[in-house]
Amino acid sequence: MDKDTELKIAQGLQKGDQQAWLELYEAYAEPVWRNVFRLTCGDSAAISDLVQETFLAAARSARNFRPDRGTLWVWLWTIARRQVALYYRKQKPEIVLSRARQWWTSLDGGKFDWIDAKADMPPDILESQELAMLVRSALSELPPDYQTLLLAKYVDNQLSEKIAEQMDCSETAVRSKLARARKAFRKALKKTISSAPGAQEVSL
Amino acid sequence: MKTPNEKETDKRMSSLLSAVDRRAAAPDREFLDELKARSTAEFLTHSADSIRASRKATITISIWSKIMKSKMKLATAATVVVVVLVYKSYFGGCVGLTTIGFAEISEAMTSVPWMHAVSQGQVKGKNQSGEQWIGFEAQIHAFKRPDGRVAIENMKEHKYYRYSPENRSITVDYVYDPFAPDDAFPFELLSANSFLADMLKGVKERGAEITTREIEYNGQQAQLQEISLSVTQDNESFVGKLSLYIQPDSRLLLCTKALVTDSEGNIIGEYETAYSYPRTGPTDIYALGVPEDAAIVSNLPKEDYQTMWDSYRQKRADATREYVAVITHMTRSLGDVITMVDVDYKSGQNHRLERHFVLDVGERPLERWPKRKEQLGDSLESLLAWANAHYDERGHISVRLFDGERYLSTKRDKEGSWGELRKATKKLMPEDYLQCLGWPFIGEAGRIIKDEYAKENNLICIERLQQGSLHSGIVSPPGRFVSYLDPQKDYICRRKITEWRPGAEWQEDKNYLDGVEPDKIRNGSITVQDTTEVIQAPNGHWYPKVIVEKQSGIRKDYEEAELKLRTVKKIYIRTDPEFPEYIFNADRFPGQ
Repeated sequence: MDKDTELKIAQGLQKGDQQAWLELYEAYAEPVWRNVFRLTCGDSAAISDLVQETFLAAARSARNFRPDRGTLWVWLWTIARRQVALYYRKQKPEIVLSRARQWWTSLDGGKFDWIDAKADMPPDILESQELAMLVRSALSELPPDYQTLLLAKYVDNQLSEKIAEQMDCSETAVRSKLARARKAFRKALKKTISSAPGAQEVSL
Repeated sequence: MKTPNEKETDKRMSSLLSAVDRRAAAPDREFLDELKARSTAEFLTHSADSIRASRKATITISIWSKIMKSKMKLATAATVVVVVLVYKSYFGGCVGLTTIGFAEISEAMTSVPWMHAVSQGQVKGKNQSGEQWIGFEAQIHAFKRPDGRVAIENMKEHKYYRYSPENRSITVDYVYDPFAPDDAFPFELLSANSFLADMLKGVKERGAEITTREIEYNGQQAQLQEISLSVTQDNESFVGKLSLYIQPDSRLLLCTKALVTDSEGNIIGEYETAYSYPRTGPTDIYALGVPEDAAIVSNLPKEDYQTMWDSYRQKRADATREYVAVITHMTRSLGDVITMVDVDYKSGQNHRLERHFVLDVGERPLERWPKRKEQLGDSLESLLAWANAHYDERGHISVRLFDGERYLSTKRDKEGSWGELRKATKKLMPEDYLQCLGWPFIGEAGRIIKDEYAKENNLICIERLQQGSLHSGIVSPPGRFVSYLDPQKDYICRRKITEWRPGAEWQEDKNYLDGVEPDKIRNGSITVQDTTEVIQAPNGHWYPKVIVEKQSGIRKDYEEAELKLRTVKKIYIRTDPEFPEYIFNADRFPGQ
């Protein structure tokens, strides 16, 4: 979405303009659906619930959207990400994750080198559902901007130019943030694989 | 051009991340269409509610809260703001905005790029004339006074320029509010509409008399809306009249006039402002007539400091965007007795701090403590559970809230009675909540210095010096504030030194204490706050874990005095919290 359209929609939302809401919805309903699917891989009903909660929450707070704090997409995905986090907390995907971890443990090879791209990863492993589960779990631990950035770049294969527009920053900033996002993702994936999940609290 | 390694990294990331896209199903169009209708209805309902609410809310938010955060102090005396001053001073409220066609004016004023206002008048005999420009899109606020003083604040660049005709010099300051909510610029000039809303919120429904009539204003048709009311305050009666001249087609404000008289008809204040809406306005100080050869005094931070400062603020903002933290306070005099438990909730701009006093007045700490210690426990859960139970029962608590717009505070006594609700115009958070503990204010006026402690511990040492001053008979000695930041750990502050040093060599005005009675002159002191333990949370950010504060005490020989342990603070944090619904809800704030 270009800056002018974005600004027009933002101004419309602040005024309670129905057309602005519809434009926002048309532009982002499908992308939100796709990314929610990618992070949850739940059944269609679960995804519908999450997407619905996201847009209803967005509708309730749209008038307070502030373009100077980030783009519409970043704002919307921050709401969606919160819904996804709640979903993870309710679902407690421990059993499935535990199985995925066992599967990972049973594999032979320099596994962390696979993640760091220092060694080739066997295609059957890349295709496995267990790996998808581990990647999903790691992704869900990342901040929303890292999630959208990684998915846009590596799954939707978007150009840096387009991502920069979507995130309202320069291409250089995208590249630099992407490097941090990759690092965070690799770290999260290794942590997901090797440690117990869900320890959100730090007891000091 | 990417290196082979980068290409391989990209390929691997793509392979790994694409795993989440397997078995992808197309979005359910039927569902999305249904949701479109539902969410649109929800949007319209809430927009209508929030438009109503925001009109109501603007009444309670003071323009002073914005202005006082701005460097643009001159502007406080300008144009329509003075109308607010006059009305706020004498009537302290607001008329029903809908009754004066506010919505229409408001709508017209949302889209103008610039507003120019020329004002003249006096308040209590003091001339308040001036000329002002506000660029709502450009985020520029400029002001020109008849005595030749000029100021311009560029809010995008965070720079404030002021010209002094006496010295023929331009002083440039960096504008940054250390206490502003994340990413929020303090002076939010969104539109002429918000300006008008602020102007009108100084008056409230106290039997205000409102009349509307068509008149001619400067040769053109205008609608005149007049608001009059009488108020008795502190045994004095005043009559105020605010007149709004509105262009009938565009609904733009053409002029405002304010007149306040006492009960005998004597004029206390009068002020008139004429408005115009040009397409552009002054974007630098020279456009306001300042000579190009005026000397420039820059108070902007040096480049290396600026870079470090930017990173510091960014890390602070990133680490403290969303969390719940419990901070326990132990004081030296009571051994390991925890005297206070702070619960600090933060989500974006929303911020709430509850301070629970563990032992009420009259309790014998050492007798009570063993049992209380057991109840408190030593984990975030146990402390939160205790604090929640304490909140629901009775006992001494103070609560502060910033809900994105308003600052509220109240307290409850040990018997369980909530005190008066305070609505404040400035931030009420004390200096020992998480953000200030981990990343205290270091300011734009600091400098990086070489220091043994910093060198030994791989820290960055920032020193900020403050001049001693005398205000209203109160002496503040020269101050030296040193912060040691850890660049490896999110720039967290590992040591903070606060020193008040009478007779400091950096004091420029050596005579600032002339005429002050000796017993009013403060001795010096030094306080050292060490973050002895830190921890990395699952979100990757570093946080302080244990902070030990030692002090010399305020004494003449403070430099030789042994530093004595004063407090120990322990911090427990959760960085992915779920907040109870009421936590940031101003309507459910206690004491109402």
